Amino acid sequence: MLDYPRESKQAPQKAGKGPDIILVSSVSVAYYGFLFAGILVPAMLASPAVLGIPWSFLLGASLLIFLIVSTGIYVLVSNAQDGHHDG
Amino acid sequence: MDNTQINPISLEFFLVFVLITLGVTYWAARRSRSSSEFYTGGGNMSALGNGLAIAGDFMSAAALLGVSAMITQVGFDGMLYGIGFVSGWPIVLALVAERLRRLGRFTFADALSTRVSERPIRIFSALSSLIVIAFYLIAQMVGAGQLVQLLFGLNYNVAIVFVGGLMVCYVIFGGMLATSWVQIIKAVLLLCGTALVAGLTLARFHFSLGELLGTAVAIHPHHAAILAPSALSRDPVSGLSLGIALMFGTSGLPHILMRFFTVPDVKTARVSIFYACLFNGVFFLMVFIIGFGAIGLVMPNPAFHTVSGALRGGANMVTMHLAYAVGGSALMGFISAIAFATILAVVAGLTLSGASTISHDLYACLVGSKSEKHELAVMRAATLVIGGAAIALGIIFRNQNVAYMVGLALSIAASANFPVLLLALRWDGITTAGALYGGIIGLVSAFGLTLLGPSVWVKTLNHPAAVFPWDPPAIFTVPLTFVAIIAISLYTKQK
Repeated sequence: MLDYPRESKQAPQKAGKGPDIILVSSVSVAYYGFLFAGILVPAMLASPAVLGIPWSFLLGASLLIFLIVSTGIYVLVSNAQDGHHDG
Repeated sequence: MDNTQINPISLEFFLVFVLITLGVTYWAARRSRSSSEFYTGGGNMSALGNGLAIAGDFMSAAALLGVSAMITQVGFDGMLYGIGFVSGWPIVLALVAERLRRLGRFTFADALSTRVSERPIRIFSALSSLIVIAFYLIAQMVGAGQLVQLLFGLNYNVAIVFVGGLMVCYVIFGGMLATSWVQIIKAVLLLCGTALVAGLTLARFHFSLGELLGTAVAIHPHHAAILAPSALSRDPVSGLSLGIALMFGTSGLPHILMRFFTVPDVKTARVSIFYACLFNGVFFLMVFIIGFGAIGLVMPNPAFHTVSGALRGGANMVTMHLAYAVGGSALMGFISAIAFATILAVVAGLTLSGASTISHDLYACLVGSKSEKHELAVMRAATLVIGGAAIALGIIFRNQNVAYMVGLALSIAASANFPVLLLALRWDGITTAGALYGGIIGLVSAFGLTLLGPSVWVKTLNHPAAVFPWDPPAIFTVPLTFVAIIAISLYTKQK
């Protein structure tokens, strides 16, 4: 029942791996950087940054916006690469 | 001002939702004849529609009511959940989506079985998927029963049977098409309702976030501490582990992965994930405003509390009370109906995914289907069985603390499904033995360590101390599964 890998090849990926690596590493650094800031300097995060809004809220909201924007850029780049290959 | 009484506006809004979704189901039933139409809605959904449906799977009642309640109770820690959920989308997009969409047909096991031996990997992925779905479903059903009991005054068991009956109806007759449209309608309503409550709340603070947060700090008993992530600094290992479960769990949830096959091509699948990320991000930003706004508007108002000082209807009712505070009984009724609609849509998606696993992965691909008609009959029977099981489990677990179950489902998805899927899609060296035994190690370790952890061992089974102190265990079990798959694959390949 248990055998070696089947002959079928890996799934084809038209888009390059560059955008994959950049997206995963940038999101991981931002997300875990945010979590580590919460572990190491929680008091700093509670202090006000601008207009009475604390760093925690500002960074949390910025992280959410970063996740959305980076996902959008990745989709634009990957779909353009796909289109290039299709063409 | 007892706003936990039965609200006729809630009932009216909810009945309108049920009628519309049953109409959609009737329309979908006439269009869903083949297995492809049942499993994927014909594969012709638009990126926006699929994005709303995917986002809807994550915008559950737990997210709306639970996260806002957590923010009201402990402040910033609740935000970490929202951010964690959204961080899963870039991961699923970059690591899984494209190759899964190119290799698979109806379920993620289709993609796995093109890389390793079909029979063992389909059995493993079916088992793992059904376990993840079962935990998710129990949590949603118990939440549904409690919510309906509270909002509409229905008996708990009647409420569970009502929810189970409706979800079975959507799936049996309308398949993926009806389930997706129910999810889309609910996602639009939920986004509108949440925006309305968040906007009206901000208006009370002159549209100044600083004023809203300043008021929350002044009123909350923990004052400025609610602006800092206290749980993270108290237990960093559990905090990071939760981050891993949320970030990678999405990539292993069968009902989410199944939605990549409902669109015509890879490009549309990518755009739909972007929409899901956008809608989820905006939704959680609004939930943060609701949570902190409730500290300022609900917490100091004695009308929302019992004589003993507890929040009327329980902590999870904070969003309903805030809706009442800023928009009266009409807005509260609307939000209550949306909360229930949310549960209905999520359980329908889970049931469809579970039924597809049984009829496609286990029956059609392993036993061998006589015909497409036969396979669809099995799918309908599986839906009935899952619906019946969900109703029974919802009643059995009625008085249990089931909050850990969504976390457990995400832990298993991150620890078992995600590593197997990722390595099968991206590593040439994977063998059947590596995928199978590595996946089983991930499944058993995530399940066992959660059982021995604080959520189950202490809070549910009432033992004095946890055997395994961290919760969830993903920080240990995800790397363990990767190492196991790679080591076993290398060993079996060499042999």
